[in-house]
Amino acid sequence: MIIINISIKEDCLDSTIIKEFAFDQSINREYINYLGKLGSMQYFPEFPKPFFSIIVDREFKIKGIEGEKTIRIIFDNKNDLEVEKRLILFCNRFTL
Amino acid sequence: MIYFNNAATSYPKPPNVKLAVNDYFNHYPVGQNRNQLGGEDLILNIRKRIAKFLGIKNCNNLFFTSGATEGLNLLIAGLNVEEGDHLVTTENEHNSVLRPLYRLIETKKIKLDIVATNEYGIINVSDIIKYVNSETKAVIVNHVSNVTGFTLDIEQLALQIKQKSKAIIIVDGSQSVGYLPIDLSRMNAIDAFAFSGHKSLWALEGIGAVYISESLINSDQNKIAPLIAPLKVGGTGVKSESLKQPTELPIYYESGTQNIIGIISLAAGVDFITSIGLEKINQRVSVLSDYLVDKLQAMPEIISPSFEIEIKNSIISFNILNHDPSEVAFILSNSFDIIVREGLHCAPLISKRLGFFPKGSIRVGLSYFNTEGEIDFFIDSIKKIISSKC
Repeated sequence: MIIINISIKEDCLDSTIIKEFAFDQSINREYINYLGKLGSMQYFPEFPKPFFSIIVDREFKIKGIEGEKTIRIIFDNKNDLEVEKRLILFCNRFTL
Repeated sequence: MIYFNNAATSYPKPPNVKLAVNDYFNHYPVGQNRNQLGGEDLILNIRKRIAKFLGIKNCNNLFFTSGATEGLNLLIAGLNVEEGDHLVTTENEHNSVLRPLYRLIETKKIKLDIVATNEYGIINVSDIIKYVNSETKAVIVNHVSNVTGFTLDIEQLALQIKQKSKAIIIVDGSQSVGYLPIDLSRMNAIDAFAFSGHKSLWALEGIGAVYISESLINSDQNKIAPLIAPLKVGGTGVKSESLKQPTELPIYYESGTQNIIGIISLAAGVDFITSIGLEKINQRVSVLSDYLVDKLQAMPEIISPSFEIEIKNSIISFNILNHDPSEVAFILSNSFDIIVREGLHCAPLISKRLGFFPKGSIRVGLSYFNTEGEIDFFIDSIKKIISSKC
């Protein structure tokens, strides 16, 4: 899995920022479990398209849909670019 | 896909709107006063039809804009006000009213009273009247709130304002036109009415219109001098020898090439409403609104001002206890294929009043084309989201 695009979805009034990572492939359950290693994961298979969220305290929250090619990340501190860099590295490190 | 975001932009458009838009490409381009093709001017013909729909006696008092935001900017920025002048508005307003007014505070140092609603977004005519005095220059209100769906009695408000003031009354009709009967010749105390075309009038995005009454046109001895300044001046297709903007209506306010395809779609949208019947559309949407509200109200986790509003219109906003509205909207859209709107809906003051600030609320905007089955699926989806504790 490789991130092919990063876009800002919302630059909030508070210190948070919402970004969208687009991947070269669809997100499957295996990759969701991989992302889940980052923090506290919730996964909802009972929804028509399973929804998942992963919270890493004081850093970010990821939310996404199984089968889609994008995830949204709400970064707690828009100025802390190190957190984003680490997340990008982690996302790109996974191989099927 | 279930589309419940009609208060932002209606979808799907009626078949005759699609046909009219497609047909546009099969003809030579036409523009007001800018061609030599025979027959009645297309724009004039459409202006007459829309004026008739809104009960406007003189179609020249109706001019096209890019939407309600441009119309309201024109009306507010064009007011002849100076430092210290008093204006009145309400907490229910959209930023298309609030921001132009705040700009007048900055640039002209006007005094602005913003009348508070109650905790459900309800505001009475008498609440507004209290703030109007003989010195008030203008009162700007929306007909239907784009957050709560609350409908203000604009006819009664305008009549009562005129009894105590010469204030210009400007109405934002974006969420009412196409659902509620608007007869501007009967509502003759209203001085100006702005609306967009792409919501309940079924037109494309980028088209709207403004009506101004004779009270805003100083037509003394055939010399027309409208009291509201235009937002833009330029080519009108006639009187091109003059370096001054012609003051005849509607060209005074219609400089530049018109959005012809938008105007055509607006006419087709109005034709659709006329063919079905406004009353029938209103009744159908009211049935759907009541159906949705009844089901929401049965869920203890739902908080909504709509539960307290007697006439629901097409808009219902709510929140789910302990759920972030943006997350709920994300799940509805991406997991359940249901499109709603979330956030502040460009109306920060009413969102604050309702306790929906800063995260806002989830807004359902229903249309004539929605069904009870779609509402059932939506309610089931909300229940699943609540029970999942996500």
